[in-house]
Amino acid sequence: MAEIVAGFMLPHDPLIPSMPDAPPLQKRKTCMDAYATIVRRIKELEVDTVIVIGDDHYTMHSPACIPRCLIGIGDVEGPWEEWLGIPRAKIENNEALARHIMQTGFDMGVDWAVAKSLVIDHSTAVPIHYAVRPADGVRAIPVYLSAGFEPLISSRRAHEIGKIIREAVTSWSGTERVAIYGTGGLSHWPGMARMGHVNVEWDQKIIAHVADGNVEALIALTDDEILRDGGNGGLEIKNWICAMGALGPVHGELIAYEAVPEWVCGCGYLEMKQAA
Amino acid sequence: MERVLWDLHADPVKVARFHSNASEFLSAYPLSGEERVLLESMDVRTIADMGVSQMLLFCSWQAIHGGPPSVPEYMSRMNTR
Repeated sequence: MAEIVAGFMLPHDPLIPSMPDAPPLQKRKTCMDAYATIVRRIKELEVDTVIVIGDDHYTMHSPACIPRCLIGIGDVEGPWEEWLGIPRAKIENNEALARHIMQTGFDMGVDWAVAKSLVIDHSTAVPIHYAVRPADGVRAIPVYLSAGFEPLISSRRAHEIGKIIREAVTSWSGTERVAIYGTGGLSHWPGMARMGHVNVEWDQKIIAHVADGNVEALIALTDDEILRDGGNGGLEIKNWICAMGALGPVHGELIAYEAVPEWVCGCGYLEMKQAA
Repeated sequence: MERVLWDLHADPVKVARFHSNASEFLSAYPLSGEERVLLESMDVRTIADMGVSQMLLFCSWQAIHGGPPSVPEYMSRMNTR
């Protein structure tokens, strides 16, 4: 039986690889050290597969088709964005487990959009580059939620999908040791008039809820509230909510937080651990 | 409008055609007269206020206007009310 042995929340800010020298050195170092901590931890925990939960930014999908939730079950490569500063390359997917997650979802009421061939955007490519690839041999299953732009998935639904991902992993006949990455956030306003602003107070509120394992408090935030206080980028906490669904009862331990206006984002990193 | 912005964001050939003759390029899309004017002028503030995805708008603006160096102009227009 496969086992979920680790969970992490981490940013996927594209400016981290594309404009690495933008912020003060200490802030950059804090963020990069946080990614390195995640790599160290997944090595210690002997993780062999990471389910990376992200959201499109009108990069992968046009207005012609906007998947509510999508899973990559075959070839994966990326990133799409040539300007990202990460060379496009193949990403090793755990295709068998991904297909099982897909089928379990179908059986339990998740109408996944399915990609047999997928080119990922920065939302999963950045976490994979910094927090999967350095752990040799670890495979990544990309999951996408419609958390980046309208029509948005509800936070409740994101959580439900996470719970079904958990059911899939724990019912899998393999022996994988799986980590769940909830990516994105925290407060940022990409493309909006307030871009560059970081709402530290809101970020700390979200971190506190995650640290307490209080996913219901996160789900209770309306999209309008999140948009007002955390920006259109703050809506990416739906990826975190999904991850918490997959992880079960957990609490978070803060690895690092930095408000980085040069990267137009509040960058939060937490390790999720089983609740006592 | 998002379809136009997506096409410009995703295809440099379309950007070139937009620059060559924006009116002719936009005539291929089912746009209202107002929408066509807004896209020709890239009145991003008004386009954003109409509910168009600002993430897409931002990426398309950069695709049309030469990438990151065009961001200050975009932000200036977005903060004009």
